[in-house]
Amino acid sequence: MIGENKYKYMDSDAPNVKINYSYSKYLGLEFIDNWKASRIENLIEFDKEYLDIVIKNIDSRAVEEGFISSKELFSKWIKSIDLSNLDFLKDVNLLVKRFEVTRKVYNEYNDLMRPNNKKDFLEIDIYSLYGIILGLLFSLTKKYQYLNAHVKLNDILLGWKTNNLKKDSLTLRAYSLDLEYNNVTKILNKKSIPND
Amino acid sequence: MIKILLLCGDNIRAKSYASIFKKRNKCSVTGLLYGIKKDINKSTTKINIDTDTKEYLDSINVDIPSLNKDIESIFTDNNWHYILTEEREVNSLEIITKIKSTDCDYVVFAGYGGQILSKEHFLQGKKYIHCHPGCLPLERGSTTLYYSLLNDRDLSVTSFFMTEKIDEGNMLLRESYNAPSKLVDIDVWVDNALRADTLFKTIELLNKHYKGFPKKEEEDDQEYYVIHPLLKHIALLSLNSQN
Repeated sequence: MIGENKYKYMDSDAPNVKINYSYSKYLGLEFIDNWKASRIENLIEFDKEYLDIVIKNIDSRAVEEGFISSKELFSKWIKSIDLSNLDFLKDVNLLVKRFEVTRKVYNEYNDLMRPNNKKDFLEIDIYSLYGIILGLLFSLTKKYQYLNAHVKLNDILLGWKTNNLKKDSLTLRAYSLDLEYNNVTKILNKKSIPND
Repeated sequence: MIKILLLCGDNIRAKSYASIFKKRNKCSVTGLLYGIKKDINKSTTKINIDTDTKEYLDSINVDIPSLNKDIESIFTDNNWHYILTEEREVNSLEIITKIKSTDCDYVVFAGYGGQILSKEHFLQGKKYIHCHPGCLPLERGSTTLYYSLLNDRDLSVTSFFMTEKIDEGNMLLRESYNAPSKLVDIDVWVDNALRADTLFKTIELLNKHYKGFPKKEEEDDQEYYVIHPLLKHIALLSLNSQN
């Protein structure tokens, strides 16, 4: 586990290891404070226009036939989230299921959302892009499955070493964290749970 | 009166079910207690219920289960017939053979966490009953009572006949309970007490030769996964904030 923060769900070995969330102990408001501290210290200002350019410029790269690069797929989804598109929702929900089981996001998927190579799951931008999708989907649908996966995904992002990351990667990561923070804060306020 | 085989480990779910069998006396009970070592020192750790959880269960007329005896002692005290085995793998040939040779109408499953019954269980003509905490098919999957609270719904338990596919057999009873208005212990007390209550009501129906009902195609079907501690805290703290 990382640093002095009392939030216990970040692990620098993730996503190589799965963080355990089962039978977590109830700690009251202190837990909310710890979660908040873990996020606030990692929230950074980012330029939304620059972010749009980063997502727009994600280019397609050659992959094996029958597979699609996750970067390309996720950026396509982010650009046009369409809740009336049942194929899109089916793929997203399948990916939520796969992520909840493996806690990994792979570099390439086939149309059943099965990975091309189970060893290829260590690209931080792919996690950030997937986090952005989950955050946007929760904002639009209020379905807690998306938020649940999103918080777990951001736990992985927060365990990732960031010292060698470029501006584009830091911006994508920041947006995923920002979406979660705002979504959760809205729920806390709506449910009258103190969170100052 | 129907004959039940309780297929269980030494866990609080099994104790909750045994509690209700004893108190309501609506079925004859046999046990296949698995994953339990004979003559081993039993744990003496007491599980106490807090005041708010007790008040909540009283307010919805749900019995508070007795959790402070090991499952074998409960069977012995009640003079219920049982078989004890150290085998912990519920899909082992030993356990499946023992179930097959037991005279019972229904098998009630209260196994160890994470165990999924293999198809061999369902090939021997016995009907298995499971109580899922959640309204099926709307609340499939894991830790669903917390998701009910997050979604501002009442708590539910659905009893159903198990099949090879989890949560997809004919349903027997979908029972709803008013959501708590104070912080309660979901994992130990509420989950198990509500499941036991629904099981008791299901047994009453089965005594009347009830067959259950299938899922309708048009019903909303949602799957949930192990809840993140943050969402669990929000669900529980939202109860506190109601006061």
